[in-house]
Amino acid sequence: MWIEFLLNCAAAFVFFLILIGTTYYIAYKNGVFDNPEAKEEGDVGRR
Amino acid sequence: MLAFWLAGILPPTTSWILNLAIRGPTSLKTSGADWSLLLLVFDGAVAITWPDIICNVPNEGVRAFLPSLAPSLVFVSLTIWIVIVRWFEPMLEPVCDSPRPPIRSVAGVVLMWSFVVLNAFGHYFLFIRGFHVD
Repeated sequence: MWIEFLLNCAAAFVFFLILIGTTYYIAYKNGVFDNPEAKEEGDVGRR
Repeated sequence: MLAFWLAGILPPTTSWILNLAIRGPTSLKTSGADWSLLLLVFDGAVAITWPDIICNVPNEGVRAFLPSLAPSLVFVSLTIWIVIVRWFEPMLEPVCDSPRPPIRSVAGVVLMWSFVVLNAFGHYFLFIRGFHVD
C-alpha cells in the first residue's frame, strides 16, 4: 500500500511539474513576469 | 487504481486552474504558502484527534498507520511551508534592475507550486484510500 502510495505521488509530481511548468513557461515567454520600468531604463541605457 | 490517482489529482489541479482563471496572470506571481499552512492546520487537527478518527477509518492499512501517519503529515506540511517561506517566496520579489526575472526564479516558483499541489494530492489520496476497503 505504501509503495503504491509513493509511486502514485511520484507520478502526480511529474504530472504537476509538466502542467505548472508549461503554464509558467508560456507566461514567461509572453512577458507576464517582465518589469516594464526596468525595460525602459535598459532601453535608455542602450541608446 | 486510476480512480485513487484521479481522486488525488483532480481537486488540487482544478483549484489551481480556477485560481488562474479567475485571477489571471496575477496568480502566477503568488505564493503557495497559504495553501501549505491550511494543510498544516488540517494535519495538526488530525494529529490531535487521531484516536477519535481511527474508529471511523475502514481501511486496515491506513488505520494501522494512522498513529504514526498523523504526526508525519504534520512534519511534511511544516517542512514544505518553511521551505516555501524561507527559500521560494524571496524568488517572487521582482529584481528592479532587470527587465526579466532569471529563469531559475520562475523554475523555483514552478517547483514550489508542484510541491504544494503534491501535498494536497497526498492528503486526498490517503483520505480516499482510508475510506475504501478492497
